[in-house]
Amino acid sequence: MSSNTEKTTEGSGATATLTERLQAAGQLVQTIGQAGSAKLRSSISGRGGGSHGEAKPASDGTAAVDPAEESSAREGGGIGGRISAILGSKLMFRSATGVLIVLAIGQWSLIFFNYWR
Amino acid sequence: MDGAPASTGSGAEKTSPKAEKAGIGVGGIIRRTVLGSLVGVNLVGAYVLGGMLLTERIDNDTNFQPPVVTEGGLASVDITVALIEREVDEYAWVSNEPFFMPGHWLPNMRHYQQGVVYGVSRFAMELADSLGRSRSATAVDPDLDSAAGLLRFPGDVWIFDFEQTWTPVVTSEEQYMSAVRKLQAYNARIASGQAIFDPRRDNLLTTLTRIEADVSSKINILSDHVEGVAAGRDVETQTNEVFYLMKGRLYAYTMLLKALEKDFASVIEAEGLTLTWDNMIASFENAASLKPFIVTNSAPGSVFIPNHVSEIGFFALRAKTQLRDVMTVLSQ
Repeated sequence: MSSNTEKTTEGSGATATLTERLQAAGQLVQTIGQAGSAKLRSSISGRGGGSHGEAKPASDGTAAVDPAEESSAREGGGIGGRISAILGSKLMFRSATGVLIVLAIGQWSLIFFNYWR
Repeated sequence: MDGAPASTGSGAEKTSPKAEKAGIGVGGIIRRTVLGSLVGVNLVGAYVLGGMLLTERIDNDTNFQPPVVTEGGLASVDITVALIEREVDEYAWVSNEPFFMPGHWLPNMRHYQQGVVYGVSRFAMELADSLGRSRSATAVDPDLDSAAGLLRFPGDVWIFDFEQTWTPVVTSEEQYMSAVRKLQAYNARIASGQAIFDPRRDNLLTTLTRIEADVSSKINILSDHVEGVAAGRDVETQTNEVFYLMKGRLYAYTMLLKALEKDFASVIEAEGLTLTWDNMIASFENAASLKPFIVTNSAPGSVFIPNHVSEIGFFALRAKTQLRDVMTVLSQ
């Protein structure tokens, strides 16, 4: 295995090949359950997974790294890393965006209504 | 392998972290920009909305009493001081607040406060010209003269007025609070017998004439606005301004007339005006107490939408009629 495929798992200090890591993560996802979408499983394992990138099952039975979430996870461990990982997922991004848009419309509607009345 | 394109397939072993990170960065930047902008818009909205809720006070409590009463002083001066202090110092003076402050977004409160200060400024002028002098035998009281001038200062001067100068200027609040100190000084001298207050019948008549002239003027503005909107000449958006300017003045006059009843108690009693005076104050209170959630100015006679401008105009006319009754008795 070339050095490019070796990654250090942050926090634990243990060294594992990318393939081993992905296989372990894929098994974790399969353990959680077959039902539900791959995105949901990915999201669940991401929240519990801590500092490293999560895996999702690929069509050939192996697992692939979600680059967006691995990038987020690399930025730091702990709460910051988790928040970053959660916000990094498309589902959370869309949810947060929707909530913020609704809040903004509500707030500014009240402001302009009060201004007008 | 640095610089190789990122791969997300099963051949990810060859993925370059640097390229992968660069590829993600574009999407990440867009997401963070969008989220950051939305968070910013929400934070600004929360600041403005929260500030508005905390700031807005349109206080038309007609049972309001001056927190400090000058023993042996004039009730009308005490209430003038109390009203200015309340609107300028205790509550936020919003007329001069720039767009980034919550008060800027409270036009109703702004117009109401301007109406109140305008009402008391006219009374301060009357104090200086008539009430605080013994006809032409004495000079104008310097404190009253200063106070009358200071209260005529525009209400929208903030600490910076870049059209005039780049340096800080004296704000409207500071001018009005200076007027308060002058009025307090005058009232303290009244209490100690060092200043003049002449509670004569003609002085009361002159004061009421000045109030009546202002109420009449404002009623004409209301009438013009109602007719103008109905005819399509005026814009509906000025309705709040017209309504709250009138309401503020009527509130100030209500409080002043209540205080004048004490200061001119001997004249009112001697003329048998006590009942008429109380009825007049009740009409002023009715006019000043109108507080619709939304001020509307539909066509007169509308079935569904009220015309609040006409309503306050009706009460103001009634108050003015009773004011004229009192003036008629005093002039005989």
